[in-house]
Amino acid sequence: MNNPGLKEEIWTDLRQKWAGLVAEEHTVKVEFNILKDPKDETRDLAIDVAQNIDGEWVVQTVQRQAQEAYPVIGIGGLGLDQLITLAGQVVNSVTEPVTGQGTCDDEMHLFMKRNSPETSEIYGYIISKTGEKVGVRANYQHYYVLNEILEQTSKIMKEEYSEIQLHRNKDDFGRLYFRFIPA
Amino acid sequence: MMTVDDILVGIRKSFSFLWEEYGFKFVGLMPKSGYHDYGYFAQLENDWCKLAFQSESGYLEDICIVPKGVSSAGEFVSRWALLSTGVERKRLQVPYTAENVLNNFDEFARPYLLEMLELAKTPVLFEKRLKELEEAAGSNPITIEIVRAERARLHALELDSSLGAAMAHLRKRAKHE
Repeated sequence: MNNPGLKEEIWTDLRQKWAGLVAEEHTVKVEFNILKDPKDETRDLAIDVAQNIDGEWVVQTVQRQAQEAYPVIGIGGLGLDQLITLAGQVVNSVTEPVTGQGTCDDEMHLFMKRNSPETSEIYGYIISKTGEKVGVRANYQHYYVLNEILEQTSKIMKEEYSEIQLHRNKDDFGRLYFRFIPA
Repeated sequence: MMTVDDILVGIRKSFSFLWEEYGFKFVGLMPKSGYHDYGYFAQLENDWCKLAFQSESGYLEDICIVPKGVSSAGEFVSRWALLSTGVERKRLQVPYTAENVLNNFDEFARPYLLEMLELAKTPVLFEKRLKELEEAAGSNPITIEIVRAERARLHALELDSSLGAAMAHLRKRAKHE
């Protein structure tokens, strides 16, 4: 497998991780999804490294340059309020095909672990109203919105976080709960 | 309606002593809460307890404190404010600006919050004190006016007229009555 253009140390870390998983007899399939600059198709802004490990998705998004893609994603200059509203929408875009629109009968748990300021990995799952656990395949939209929520919260609270989690439980009428894990 | 930015900035600014003196960290947020989704729920944690800032209306109404390792539901700071202010509890909810609400919390609830933070280090003492407060409130509620009058009396006598001292005098008196 050739490097699709990631920073060398990130590529090395990923290859080591996959080699370790394969050695432990896990099944690993990897796909790449590249976010290109619409004004310059030769220019890559971010890469989603979508890893299917034993049937579960873990998507690591790598930014080329911090905040470079904000105008393309449409989050430049947004406050926490707007980002939180947006987080609900981008989460719904992947959960609704499983749970149905506007339902409160499901549970959703999404985790974003920050590897460095320019890359994080996201994984999560839904428990449908029939009790079925379904993995979520995130993408760079989730990453950018959650990463910016993490950045802004960190600035306000004067704290560093290593992880942000989104939870939606049946008992909370479909409301989102954001959990911050201190670094 | 307050924005999430306002809520978090307000908590961090008004309760900075929780970070600086008690080592709290911000760990959770439900940005919409309450019947009309106007409220919020924000959580802090330190080594020995959890705090939850709660609102139904968008303005801070309650602070819940739960020692770690205690499985029972936490009690609310406004409950202790209620214990001290009795029927005048509404006074804590009347001012409809964030600053006023926070100031009122500072004046009436902060002494209880500080006391409970210390007690939360020892869950047994925490629960014992809660019971005492509940019993005291049931038998002889102390209103804001009573606290003010006591502070004025102590001041006139050139004694310590702080809120804590006034409350101590009132509790002592209530015990003897």
